[in-house]
Amino acid sequence: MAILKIRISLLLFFFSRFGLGKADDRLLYTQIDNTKFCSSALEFKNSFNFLIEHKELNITEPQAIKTALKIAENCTGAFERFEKVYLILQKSGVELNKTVSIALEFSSYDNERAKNFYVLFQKLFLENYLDLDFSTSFQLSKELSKDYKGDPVKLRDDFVGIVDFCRNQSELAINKKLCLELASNLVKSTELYPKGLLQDFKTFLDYVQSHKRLGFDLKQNLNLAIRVLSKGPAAFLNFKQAFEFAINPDSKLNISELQAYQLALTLSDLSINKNYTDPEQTNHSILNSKKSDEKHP
Amino acid sequence: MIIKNLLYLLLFSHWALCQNQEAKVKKSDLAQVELQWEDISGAFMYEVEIINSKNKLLKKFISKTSLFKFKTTSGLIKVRGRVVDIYGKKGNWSTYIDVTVPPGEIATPDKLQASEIKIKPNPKTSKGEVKLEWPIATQAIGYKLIVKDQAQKIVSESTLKNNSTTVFLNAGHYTFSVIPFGNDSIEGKEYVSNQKITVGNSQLQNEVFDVKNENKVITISWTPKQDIKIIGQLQFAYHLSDTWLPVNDAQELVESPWLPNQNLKPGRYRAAIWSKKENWVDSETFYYEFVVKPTEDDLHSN
Repeated sequence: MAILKIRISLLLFFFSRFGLGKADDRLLYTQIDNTKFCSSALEFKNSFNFLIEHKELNITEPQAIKTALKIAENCTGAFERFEKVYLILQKSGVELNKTVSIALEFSSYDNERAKNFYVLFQKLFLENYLDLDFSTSFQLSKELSKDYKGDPVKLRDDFVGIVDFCRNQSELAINKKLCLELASNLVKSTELYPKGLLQDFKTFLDYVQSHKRLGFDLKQNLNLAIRVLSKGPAAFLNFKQAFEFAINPDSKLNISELQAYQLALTLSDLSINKNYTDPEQTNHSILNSKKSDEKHP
Repeated sequence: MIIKNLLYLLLFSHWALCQNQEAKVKKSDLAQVELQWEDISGAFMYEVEIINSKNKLLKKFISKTSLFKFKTTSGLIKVRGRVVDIYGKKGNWSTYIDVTVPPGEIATPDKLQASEIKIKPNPKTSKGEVKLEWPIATQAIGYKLIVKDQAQKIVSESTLKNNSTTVFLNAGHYTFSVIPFGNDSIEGKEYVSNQKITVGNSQLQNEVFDVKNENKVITISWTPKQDIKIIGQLQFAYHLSDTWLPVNDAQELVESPWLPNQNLKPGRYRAAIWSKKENWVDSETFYYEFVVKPTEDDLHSN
């Protein structure tokens, strides 16, 4: 059956090339959902058509076939990744050969990593967001996508959320430089938070901004947020509890507000268990060692 | 009369290549003069008297032969002689014979043979300041400098006391020659220098362009000057590329200011702007680089 499908597809492909009119091929090119397998023909067809239709590329048919095959090698979703990255870069004024080669590279990564690139690039480059120069935007987008070792979705959500929050006039409305600094520093800790740190950041900032006994300015509060949140999800709670305890008149601690703040900061710094080992990683290593023992009794 | 029978031959042997610039003339720097008188029977010796053009006695001496050898300064001199017989009796003086003693030749030093003087002109005057120097000619009290252009037309002629000078020349190719002269303006042999002089075209001074970038509108303004044209060209480069491509032909900007960034597609741009004047080299190009970014809508439109 699969052989028959491929034959029909090829026939249709040739007919369409020889001007017999475009056939409705949606039934022939059904998406293969099992991630173990790839919709290579669909990826090839979409890529080939895209390359030929984009006249600015001035690409010959053999070149289009060669490039489409390379995209198809990257399995299901490769064309969409290629297309998204290509269009963002091409519309931003990137040299076309380089655009194709970068888009080709991103077609080989997973969807979320590619999405990180084209979503974050827009946030960094466009005038209504951070308005950075092209080189910086491009480099940072690569670092936060293909070079990022953690969960790209969490990172993207945090980065985009922080940028939107700090640029929003009804929220922080801080300048672009400070916003970039804030987002870049905060997302370094994203991996410590199971659902990302955006919500914790907002809550923490709200707490320190509205607390009557903590009289710092916005910039100081943002730096404080970067430091506290870098110690993981428990750090905010530790900071809050320590500070409240220290300034509570019923507590036996007789210290100033500044000392209370320093104590809270010190205790929040201790929020990460230095002796903790990930049980999953431990299980994984045990399994590996067992397998190794089986091979080498 | 002795004088009527007088035949003379002047031979000048000049100094060796002497670079002495002392004010006083050394004896060895004097011109060697040899004057041949016709032998006169009964003459035992000859008394010779030399005066300069101002009738000042330069020298008086006894010559045992009819070939009088002496050294003297350059210029017009007058020489007379008389016979002295074996008894010491002197005859009558001859009339003065005018003798012209030119200064020495200018020797061409080897190192200057193939050299070329290349000068950039002063942008304010558009003239090149050319320093010329040549070897000293002994007995020269001055030099006549002649500078000729490529068509052998004299463009500069001057009389100088020293063996170097500075001339100011327009753009072009030149050669020069020097004629040394001694006392009484007696000219020596013309020295034609092998050095070629090239004065480049003068370059216009860079204009001052005032750039303003307000609300994403770029304006480049300047102060218009007579006879100077302002030329502008917009150039484009893709991101991640170093090649600049012209967006349009270079064109004269008739009015200041120039607004280069109107209706442009996203990418890198630079406004190239320079000044131009007839017979002048264009000023250096002033560049103002800017980036046109897409909007969010641009990125998501088909």
